[in-house]
Amino acid sequence: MLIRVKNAGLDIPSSEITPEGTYLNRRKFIAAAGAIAGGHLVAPALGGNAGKAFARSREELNGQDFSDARDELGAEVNDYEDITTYNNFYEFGVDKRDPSRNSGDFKPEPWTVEVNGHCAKPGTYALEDLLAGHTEEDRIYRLRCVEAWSMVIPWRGIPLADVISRLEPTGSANYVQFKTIIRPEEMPGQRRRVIPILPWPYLEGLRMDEAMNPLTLLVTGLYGRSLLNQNGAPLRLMAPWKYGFKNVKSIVEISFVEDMPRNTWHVQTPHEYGFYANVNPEVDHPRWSQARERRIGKLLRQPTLMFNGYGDQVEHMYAGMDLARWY
Amino acid sequence: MHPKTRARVLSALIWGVCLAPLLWLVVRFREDGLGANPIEEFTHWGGSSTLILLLLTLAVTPLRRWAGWNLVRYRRRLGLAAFFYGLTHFMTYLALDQFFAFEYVLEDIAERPYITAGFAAFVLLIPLAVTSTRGWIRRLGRRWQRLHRIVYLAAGLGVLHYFWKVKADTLWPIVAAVVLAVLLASRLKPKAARRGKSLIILVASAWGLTPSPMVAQSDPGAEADQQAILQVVDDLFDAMRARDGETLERIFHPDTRLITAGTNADGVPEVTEIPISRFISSVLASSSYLDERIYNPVVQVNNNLGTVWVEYDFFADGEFSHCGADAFMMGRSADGWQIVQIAHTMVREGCPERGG
Repeated sequence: MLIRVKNAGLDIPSSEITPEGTYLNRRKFIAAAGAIAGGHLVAPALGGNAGKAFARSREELNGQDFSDARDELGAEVNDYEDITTYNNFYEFGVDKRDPSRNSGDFKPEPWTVEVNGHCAKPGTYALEDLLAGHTEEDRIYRLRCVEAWSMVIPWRGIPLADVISRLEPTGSANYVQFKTIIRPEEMPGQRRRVIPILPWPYLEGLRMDEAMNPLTLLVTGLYGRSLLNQNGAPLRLMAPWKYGFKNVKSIVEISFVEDMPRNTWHVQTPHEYGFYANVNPEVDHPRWSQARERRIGKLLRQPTLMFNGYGDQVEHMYAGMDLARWY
Repeated sequence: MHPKTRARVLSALIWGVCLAPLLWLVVRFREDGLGANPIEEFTHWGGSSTLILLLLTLAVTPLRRWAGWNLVRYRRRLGLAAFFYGLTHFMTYLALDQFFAFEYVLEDIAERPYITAGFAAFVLLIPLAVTSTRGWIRRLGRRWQRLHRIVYLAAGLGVLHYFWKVKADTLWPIVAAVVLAVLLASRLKPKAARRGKSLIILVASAWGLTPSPMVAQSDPGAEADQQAILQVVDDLFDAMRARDGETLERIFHPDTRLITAGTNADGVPEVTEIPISRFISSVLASSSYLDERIYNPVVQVNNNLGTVWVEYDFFADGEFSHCGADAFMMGRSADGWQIVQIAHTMVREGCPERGG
């Protein structure tokens, strides 16, 4: 089955695709490092997942073959394992491995989403009803974390614009606010009382035109299967030209509001995280550079692209705006 | 446990502490090959290991002071292990994370406060690692100790580096900062601690529990000096037990001679002397546990000159060897009291029964 890439206009001839020989992926890197240390003998002895990893071929899941899946710039998608074990989802803990380890108790079914604010069809929707009538699409997007790492992920979801249109926001709805569930009994990161990790619930928001942009997805799955808990099951956002933290997970509430929502990271550290959080190699995080990023699975850092490479689809929304001020 | 065995077990334990991060790394590698972002994981591993070992190094003095555990002998090993992990951490950043992109590295050091702090901490540790040898301790004398106080600054910068690096969850940086603050604060009160100790000795001697130090009281203000002088003598015997070269180099004036008032092979009285450096070398080279226990100290002070007379029993590896008396001549330098001369007798027969 083919991966449907909606932005077919961006397809790049295969001749421009980065030849595989010009980079090392992580497995090869570990294998190479091991060989230097005499590890061609050590590696099998180490056993476990590390040993298996050397021999593992690329994913084939749900009958779909993702082995040659690439984004429109020619970058191959990340391993399913990496996408599902290297996560920022502080509700389950701050370590990258915490979400995959600590989310076993989380129950993404049944799920309801409350819709409120300036719209004609507020109410509490069962997830199935919210998504009913929409066709899921597979789209390969780059994900650029504000921490300067990135992945390429084959998401599955529906355009947020389609859902919003059905909810009929009114003229006062200038922004859309999203809220992550609070469920401390299933989310250990929310249980900590001493020096709480973040103020819960996690809030994010988009300007209405950003929410209606054809790129913006309401994500229900990846790699052709349902979202795992650590990736934000059962419903999360994906606006690929923004830093990862904008893409709120396990959404339970969608509010149409007049004023700019106060998103969690902005509240936490206002001078470091703004509302827009557009990927921008020229505006550094106060504590580190955003000029380059490490693509997970690659050894060398690569340059970060303006709007994460989606400038053609989104830059018109920010015409005339000072992006250093509106970071 | 036999003192020698205990020393071996302790040494092995300290090696275990120093190497534990490597073991953890192997376990972590077996688990999932360091995960999706191995360079990040490896970087964090190096940084955490450095900080933990640095804090353990700084815990040696408070542990001796408050818990009575003398690990001074192993402090250099802990410190060098901290430096080793710090070097690994820096090289991971330079080689793997930045791939020697020096323009970015220099920008980071100049403009990113957390990297500035971390880099400064690493640079400050370099001279400490270089001068950790016995030769450098001897060459630098009292200046060595002053130089190595830089470790406080390096540890502070290390914690700051950690604090500034984390995105939101400051729990562990705060824990590290509190631990460091406690370790440093415990050093601020040595005088108060000594005053407390002398009070305990006085009260205990009033109850007849320990022999009272016979302090020749010329004026009341000299009491602090007498206690400080006794502390140096205590430090000497602690350092001999711990084979702690650092302390030995510190408490002797470099020109000190060790005089033995004994007899020659024919039983004729004879005075011999050796430079103190030879005495220190022989202590450090000794494979035995050298335990010199002192009794009935008499201290006299006048201005910058002091003397101490003590009786002693000497035990090697827990076995009684000989007894005698030590006579110390003490001089005050800008940095405090030092031993400037030491003379002793050695008697193998007719030693008093003092109960080992």
